[in-house]
Amino acid sequence: MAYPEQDHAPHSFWTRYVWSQDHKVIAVQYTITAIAVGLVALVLSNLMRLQIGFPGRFAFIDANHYYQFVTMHGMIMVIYLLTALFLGGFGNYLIPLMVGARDMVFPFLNMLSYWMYLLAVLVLMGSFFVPGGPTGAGWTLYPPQAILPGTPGSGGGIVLMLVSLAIFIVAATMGGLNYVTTVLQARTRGMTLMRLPLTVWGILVATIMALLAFPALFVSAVMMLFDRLLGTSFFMPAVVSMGQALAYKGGSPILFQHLFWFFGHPEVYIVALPAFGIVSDLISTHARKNIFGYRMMVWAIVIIGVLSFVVWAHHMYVSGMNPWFGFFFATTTLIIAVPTAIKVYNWLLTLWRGDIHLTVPMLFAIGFVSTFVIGGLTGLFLGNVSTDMPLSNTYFVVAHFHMVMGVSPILAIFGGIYHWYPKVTGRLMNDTLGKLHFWVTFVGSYAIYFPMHYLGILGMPRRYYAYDNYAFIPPSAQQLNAFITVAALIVGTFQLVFLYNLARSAFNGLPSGPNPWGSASLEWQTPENPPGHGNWGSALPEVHRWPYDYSVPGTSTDFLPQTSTSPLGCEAKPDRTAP
Amino acid sequence: MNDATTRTDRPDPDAAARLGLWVLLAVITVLFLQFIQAYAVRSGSADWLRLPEPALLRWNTLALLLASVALQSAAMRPHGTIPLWFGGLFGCAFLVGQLLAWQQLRSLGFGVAGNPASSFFYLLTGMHGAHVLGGLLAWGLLMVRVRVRARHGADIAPGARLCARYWHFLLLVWLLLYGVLFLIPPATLQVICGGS
Repeated sequence: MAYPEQDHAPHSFWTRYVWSQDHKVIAVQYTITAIAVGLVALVLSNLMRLQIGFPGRFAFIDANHYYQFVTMHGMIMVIYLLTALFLGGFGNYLIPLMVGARDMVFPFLNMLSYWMYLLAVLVLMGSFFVPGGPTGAGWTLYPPQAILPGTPGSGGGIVLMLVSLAIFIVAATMGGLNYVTTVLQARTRGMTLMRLPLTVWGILVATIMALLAFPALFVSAVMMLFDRLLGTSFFMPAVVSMGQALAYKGGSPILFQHLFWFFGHPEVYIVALPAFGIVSDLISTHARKNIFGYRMMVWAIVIIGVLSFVVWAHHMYVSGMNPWFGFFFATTTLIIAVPTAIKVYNWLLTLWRGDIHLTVPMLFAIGFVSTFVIGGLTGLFLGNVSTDMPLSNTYFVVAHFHMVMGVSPILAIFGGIYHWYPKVTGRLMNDTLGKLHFWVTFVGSYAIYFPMHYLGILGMPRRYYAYDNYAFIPPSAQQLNAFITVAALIVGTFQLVFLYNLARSAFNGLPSGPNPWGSASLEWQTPENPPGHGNWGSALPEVHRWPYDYSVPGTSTDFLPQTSTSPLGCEAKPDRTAP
Repeated sequence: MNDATTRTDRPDPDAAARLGLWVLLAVITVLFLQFIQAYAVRSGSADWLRLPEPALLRWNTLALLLASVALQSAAMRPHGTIPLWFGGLFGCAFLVGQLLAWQQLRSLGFGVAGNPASSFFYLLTGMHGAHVLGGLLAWGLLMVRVRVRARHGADIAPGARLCARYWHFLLLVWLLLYGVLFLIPPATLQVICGGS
């Protein structure tokens, strides 16, 4: 457990690329695994859309398969793609480089974290191949239906899902211990907490939240496994299933919902906060302007992190609750809009009169602000009990959460990958393909999710396999659904452009030089690019300023790296009389 | 912007391990609080049954307490390894005792699925036991290090201190679980946890 020997530089292929303890290799392993499993989830979503857009046309998608696709798509995207990629991918790569450390403080544990994550992914993928297939209980896995016969995958599928989640939580905890300890213990000389890039702040707070929220999911997964395998009645009430009274009695399904959402709501911000951080850094760098209101941004991240632990029951308004409870949770939910709005204003004010370079990372960052604002605004409707009630089971909710925690974080991830790709490979990704990828993804996402708001207000229920004999749904809704499906297929297909670009540029991309974006933060100041083992050559860097000294008056370059000893810049004590 | 808070070339490995352990303890604390919260909610239901206390549990508690004491004395004396051995031994004794307590309870007719109180008993003691097992694994690694480093005369006190701290924590968690399972009336617990 203790800090290992520093000079564990790898010598063979196996120790360098497979059993690596280097945070940079582990980050790439996490990223590639997450993208691979995300691709599965993307295909599942397109299969779902085929059924909704062209019901009955594809005979192999029966109701059971449809529910399995829905469930696996949701769970994979939220946990195995977004959480793993932000924390395991970006967190692993960027934290040591951004704080000026040679590696994570517990490299062996870090390696273990990746292999546990891979195991969790394999167990989950294994559920596609067990009799009965993967679980189709919906990603929230609500009991009692999740483990009762009649729900697809109630045999091996649900068991493997719960086991996989438990393994994932162990992996995330191992990684999280590393990220928190590294940020707090391994910062280089001069790197105070208030000189950290906002990316690190976002990942740090998200990691702390993950460490505190995932236990609730672990508890619910273990207790549900007990109910499923050992016949206990933690969550299971007395049930008559298919005409037979089961042995369960007295359990509380609502208890599961509380535990699940005590994890589930912070989870939204576990993927949002790193995205906030990344977008802040991208906007500042590519607008050549210091981030507006750095301290406010940090505090907003912290406050959002704290508040997100006291809003969970807004997912349960329709489960029924004491009106005062609903009042409390609606109030806390709406209060989160305050620090979030502060962040949005600060992004806009950073862009304001900036020297905006519409590079591919910048396009994705601005795209994020747009989709996040749209998704956040619809959250105001759903945060209020009285407007949530009629909307909760409709496509309005699907539109809301996909905009705010599907499209937005993935845009931040794409922006981050285009931005830091030269750091990882020493090469730039192709610009034309990147812009093509951005515009199709961005416009396509609106084409997919904007109409869903209307379908939701129309009352179109979500989760349904087919909409036969619903007189109140007009034929035009079906046309809209077909349109959405076509858009989803196009957006899905165009992700191949990204994958092609990602793979091809690693070998054929233009050499990027050490700092292609002119970035001031520490990760771009390594002696080698990509950084070698130990990151910093013979001596650690010394930090003299925050990471946002762009367009500083009086300097010849348009930015001052964090290692610069120039007396100018934001932390300089200026002559207050000068305008 | 206080430079005194920042670090030099190599982070202090002991400080990193100490902080890492504190973070881990925080995570485990949250885990058990969630379990207890679930227990409090579930214990309010009509089918709740009071569980008879297996007599062995008091002896197990004593074993865990002794393990904690032994490891603490190992941590305070950097060179003697005998208290370290006793720490692990009492830890194992606790685990064996817990397994026997399970058997006692089962022979009284309280299986895992019988009623919610006994389901929780097996769940909570099992979870705690798994963490003791993890602690024994760390203890085993420390003992290996003792063997290896004895030849180099290296200091094992930092590792022993971490082990001792983890054990004190496990003792506290166990006392909390013991209290929740057998000493505190469910009604009181529900008031504390705000369950219904």
